[in-house]
Amino acid sequence: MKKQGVTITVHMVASVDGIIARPDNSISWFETGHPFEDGEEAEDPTAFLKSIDCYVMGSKTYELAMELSKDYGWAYGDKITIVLSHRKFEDDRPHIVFWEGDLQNLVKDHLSAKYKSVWVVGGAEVVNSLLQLKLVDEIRISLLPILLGNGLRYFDFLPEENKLKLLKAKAYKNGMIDLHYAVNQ
Amino acid sequence: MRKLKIFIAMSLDGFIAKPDDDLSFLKAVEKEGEDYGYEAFTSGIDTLIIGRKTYDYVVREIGSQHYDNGSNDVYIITRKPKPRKGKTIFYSGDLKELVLKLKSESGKDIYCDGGAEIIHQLLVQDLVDELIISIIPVLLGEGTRLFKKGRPEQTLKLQSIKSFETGLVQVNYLRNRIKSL
Repeated sequence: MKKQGVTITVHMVASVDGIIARPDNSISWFETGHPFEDGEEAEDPTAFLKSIDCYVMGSKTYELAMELSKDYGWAYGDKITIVLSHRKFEDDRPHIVFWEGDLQNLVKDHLSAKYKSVWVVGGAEVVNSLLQLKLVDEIRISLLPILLGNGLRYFDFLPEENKLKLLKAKAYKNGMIDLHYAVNQ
Repeated sequence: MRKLKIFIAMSLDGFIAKPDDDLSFLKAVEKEGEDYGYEAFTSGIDTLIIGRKTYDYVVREIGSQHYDNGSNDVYIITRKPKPRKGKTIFYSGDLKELVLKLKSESGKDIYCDGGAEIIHQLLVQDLVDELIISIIPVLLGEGTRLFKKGRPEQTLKLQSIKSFETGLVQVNYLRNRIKSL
């Protein structure tokens, strides 16, 4: 059944070779250092992030985000963040919600009633499942100008073909490009 | 010095072909009078490097004149050496040696038209100078990947990005060998 109201966007930051995490999870590759003069100035992230209602992530992405938060702070502010997991985690923050139920129910019964713009921030398994259930509306990919060569791939053998419609493509001064697609469902 | 360039199309999830060399996904971006810069690109090259399997495929589907137009030097990378055919040379020696020799000679740039295995070897040995990738608006799910794992990290410099009505986005990257601070 088609969900209503909510737009579900899958977002990833990846290397040109489609990798989202180095084998050791270090993130210094986010600093590009090779400017693209014709690029646009980066958007004001605060205004942009405001439009997002809710984040969804898998348990491994959550663990990585927790690990990174030690050095860089929690990346998702106090927005509701739904962590898909059958495992139990100790986390008292009121905006972190653990969900061990069905993905389809989560979207249909929960997300579509409460939110307008939900961002799925990883990982590959969650994205694969959502695509398979035809629950993804948009995909936004930010590609950084590097080939990582090894590490975790974002799209790793999806079960079927998905046609996309390009909504927007642009480049920033730091050499990052942003590709924005609608998923033809 | 002459550059070694890659000009290739891939799906958003990184595949250059579906299983069994199926390239039908490219039909979705075919448009009368639009060659996505291919002719301009090939006018800047005079030497090709192609893997044997890709060569066989193209000869079967299009014909050998696709590569050997009488003026291009065409190198087919193969394990089984064969006598040269016109300007087509079947090369079974060391790939790096060949590329370094070609780069040291004068002429236009060098184009590697695949396949994935040759591109992988060239990237592993850091011999690629420019990547022009046309991203097709589709997730294929399976097939032949442009980028196999097991390569060293390499920083790039974005040169240009261009999007087309068909939804194809073409990005052009230079290999940036200068270490940033």
